[in-house]
Amino acid sequence: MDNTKALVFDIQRFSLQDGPGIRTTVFLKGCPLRCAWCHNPESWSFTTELSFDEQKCEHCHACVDACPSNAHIINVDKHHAFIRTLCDNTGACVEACPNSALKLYGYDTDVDSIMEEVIKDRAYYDESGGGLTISGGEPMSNLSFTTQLLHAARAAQIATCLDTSGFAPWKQYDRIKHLVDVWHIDYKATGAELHKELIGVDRQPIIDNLHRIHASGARIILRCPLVHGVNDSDEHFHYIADISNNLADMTIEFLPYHVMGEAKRDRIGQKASHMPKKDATEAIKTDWRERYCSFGGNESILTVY
Amino acid sequence: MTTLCPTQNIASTFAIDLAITKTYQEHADSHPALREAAVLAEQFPAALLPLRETDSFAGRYQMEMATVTHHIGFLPQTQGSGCGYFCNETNLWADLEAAQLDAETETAVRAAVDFWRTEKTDAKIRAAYSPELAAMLPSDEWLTEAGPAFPLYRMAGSHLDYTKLIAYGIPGLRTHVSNRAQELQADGDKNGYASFTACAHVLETLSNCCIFYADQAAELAQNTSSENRENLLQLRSILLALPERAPHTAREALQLMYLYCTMSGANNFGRMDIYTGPLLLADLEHNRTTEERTIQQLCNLWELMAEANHETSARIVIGGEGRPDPVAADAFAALALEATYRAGLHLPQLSLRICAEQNPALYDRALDCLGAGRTFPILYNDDINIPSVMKAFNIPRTEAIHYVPYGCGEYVLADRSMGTPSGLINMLAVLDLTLRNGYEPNSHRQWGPQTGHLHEHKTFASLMTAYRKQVEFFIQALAEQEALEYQVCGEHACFCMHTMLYDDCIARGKAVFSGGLRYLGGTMESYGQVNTADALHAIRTLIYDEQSLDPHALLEAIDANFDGFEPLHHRLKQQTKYGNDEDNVDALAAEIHEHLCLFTQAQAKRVGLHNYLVVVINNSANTLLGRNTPASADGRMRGTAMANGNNPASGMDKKGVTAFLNSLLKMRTDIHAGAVQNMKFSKSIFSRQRPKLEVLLDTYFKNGGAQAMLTVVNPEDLIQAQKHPERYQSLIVRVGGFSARFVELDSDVQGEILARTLND
Ligand code: SF4
Ligand code: SF4
Repeated sequence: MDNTKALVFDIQRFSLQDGPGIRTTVFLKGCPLRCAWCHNPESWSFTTELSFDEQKCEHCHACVDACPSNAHIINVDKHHAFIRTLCDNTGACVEACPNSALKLYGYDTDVDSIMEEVIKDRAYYDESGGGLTISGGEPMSNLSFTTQLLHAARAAQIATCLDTSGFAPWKQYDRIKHLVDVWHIDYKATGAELHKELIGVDRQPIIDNLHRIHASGARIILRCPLVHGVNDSDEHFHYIADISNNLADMTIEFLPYHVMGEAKRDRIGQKASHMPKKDATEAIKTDWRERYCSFGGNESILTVY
Repeated sequence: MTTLCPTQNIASTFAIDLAITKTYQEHADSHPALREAAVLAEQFPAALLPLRETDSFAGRYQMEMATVTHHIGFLPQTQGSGCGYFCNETNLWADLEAAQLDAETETAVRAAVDFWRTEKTDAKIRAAYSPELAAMLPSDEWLTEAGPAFPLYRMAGSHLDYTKLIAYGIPGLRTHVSNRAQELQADGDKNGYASFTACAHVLETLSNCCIFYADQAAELAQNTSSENRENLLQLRSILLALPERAPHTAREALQLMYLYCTMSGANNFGRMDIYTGPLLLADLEHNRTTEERTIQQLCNLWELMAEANHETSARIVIGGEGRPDPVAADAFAALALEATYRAGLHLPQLSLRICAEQNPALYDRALDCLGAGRTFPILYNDDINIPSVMKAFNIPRTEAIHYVPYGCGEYVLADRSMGTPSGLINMLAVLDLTLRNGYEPNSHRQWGPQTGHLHEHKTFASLMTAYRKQVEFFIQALAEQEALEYQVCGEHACFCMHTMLYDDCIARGKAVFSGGLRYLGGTMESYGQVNTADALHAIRTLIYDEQSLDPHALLEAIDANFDGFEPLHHRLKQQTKYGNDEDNVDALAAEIHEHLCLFTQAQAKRVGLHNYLVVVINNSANTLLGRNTPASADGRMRGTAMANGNNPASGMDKKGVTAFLNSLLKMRTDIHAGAVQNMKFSKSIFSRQRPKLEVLLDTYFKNGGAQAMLTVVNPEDLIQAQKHPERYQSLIVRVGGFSARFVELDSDVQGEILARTLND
């Protein structure tokens, strides 16, 4: 029995881009970082959040009765309006909405329940070299849960992958590193100021952790979210190219920016980002690859999504 | 008015109708087999469409859709107008209006229609119903009426022994059947004598068709480009040779098969790699053809098949165990895949059986083909299917290796069995009846047995007992109908072209439906299983477990199509659905499936068939039946599509493809004659994640997956195609059991395809 709890916002089976093989990815809610391009803004908060999709609302007012906090109101024009500041984010209204305009991000669950789901795809992991990926948010922010889940996967002989920003204290990584088979570590921006501006935190601890984790002999996939005109400087590709040569046995993935996060921001009451309104074109992706190579980057370990 | 081929005129179509009618009437006292041979001689080659200068094969004939060359005739199946002797009134009246016939001819046509109203085979079948059977199956109008069970009239899904046809050739086969007729006559078997004499006559007609086209080829060759001329002259010599001797080359073999298939109305092309492979290898060895040339010819043949448009037939099976010369068969199979890749058509339904003994490159190429957006080949896993067929059909392995899927996915045994689907059950309609004590409100019929109203069932177990009783009631009726349908067909005609090429008719000296066929089986199409499981699960949870829903309120909401019951509707939709690897509802689905299949299987003995099995195929009937099906407790609205095959209801598989496959794998495969699984993937999975996709499929197949229909579709394509059909003429999608041009589908069928989850 393991009832260590966590707030999870999604469990995705048949994940193909979260590590080797076919995987199940568990997304934990809550992240200390605020990357401007984040396509999962619903992962930021450490508490549940109500999402309201105005486009789906048919103004039936079912939610008005269901809400104990009067956060759903009827306007003079009989239109429904949602006052987020009154909402306690517990979701009593979600079930009431017949049009799926309301949705609660985040639910409490525990290690056992998650493993029950994860184990169902064992046959696919075994055949493909896949397994469990713990992602977020930032899994290191709920260290006790992440540790327990990693232990449980080990016990079940399911391979693990941890998706982290690299920003947690080294001591924490040190405690769990023997339980992780593959690391996804993000490398987001080059230049101390730019990093601070885009991510909201210092870059150096991340670099240090990357080297330490690598030194421990771990298998690392370095993931680089790229936004055209924001973090795709020559300096950045130069740095990544250098890492590709200095840290042996690592692979690198370029993750082009997706606009899909924007609509979600609006639904959970966040301000729009300053990111471009378009996805990266194939031409831009090719340019990234070429620049990386021009700085001596090892092309054989690079995947551009 | 129906569209005619430019060289035909409408009057000539009625001339064929009248000639057939007259011949039939003149043979009132003849043996039915001889009458049939005489009718076929009127029908062919008269009703065949002319050769065109670019055709590499002859045998155009269009009896699907509104493009017909006659309205009265003999075929084992015609779309919507019965089996055996048919009279397609819908097309006939439309054409009659446009034809402006002289008064005398028109009167004759009207008299003919009157005559056939009671004389056509499906009318005879209906007339043979006992009063009890007629009460259980009161309506044939499954397309327009609501109801739990309907009969279907057709002799579909035949897989004739083309290997034998090609080995004997027309003259060899004629000698064979004539000799048999003599033997039977000597034994005093008048029936047998007449049947096989008729077979010989029909082969004469087949020869005439060859000559008919040979002459056309010669004529066309005179005024065409040199390239076409060479092709036409070659075709001419093939067509002249076929009445004289057995085919020597792969092209000759395919020509003979295609003409035979057309005339017999079998419309399924069988295990083509078996009967073409050895000839192809010999051709290549002796430089009679090249691979490239063969591919081009196959593309041309595929085009003819697509034009003939037998959407729910037109199967070609390649690969699999039981091929006497696997190397030769593989060689042909590779070219067939290539032709499918290049032609990019909605037919034929190329189907690849996968087994260890064949060249793995075939499977690789198949995935390339699918990844490029073709809807074929459909994949069949021998490791699961052979043992399943052994159990379901109760036959030894040596027979089971000959399984072939036909039409929308029903399994039969090539050259050995028929399993025509002559009835369908709408499980969701049966469930609706169950909730109402067997009463069907639209037709005001007490259609099923009185098993109590929903509110009278105090436990879920009691409701399930009632549900099972209702299902069993209708299955019994459909099984009886199936046996009766074969019986009447056998009495009315010999089905000569089937009789000659089906084991063991010649040996037994009997016609195919009169005791000749080795395994006379039947299938029953079931629809709505998954919605029924979802609905029953919702009822169990809300009414019985939680006791939070009043049974009367549920029925009121269903009657109102949830109008004014939005919160309840929402709750029903929120209940766990099949397809998400959730044991509670999946187990219920598996239980319903097992009950349906086993009870159906048990009927064979009772009604005197070798086998009688459920098929969970998916053509567009899930949508068409859905139109007349009331709202249901799974939250499905009145008139909307039911889930396709064993697939989850549209958009209800929310946990991704592995969960969906795990749910599928909980359904037994060894108790029915085929179930169809659709899987759609985005192009990017095929192109970028191919190794992972392969592992996914391998794992599915290893763990019990019998079949997979993969499609690559991008939802944006479909939306655009709805807006701008003119730009998407070539967009082909699978509508369950068959592929179709998306733009030609009804908008609700389009909507359903769009809504099906994309495993992106
Ligand atoms: S989450 Fe709770 S407080 Fe917020 S709107 Fe819904 S019911 Fe009201
Ligand atoms: S219940 Fe849903 S649809 Fe109705 S007013 Fe509230 S948010 Fe809008």
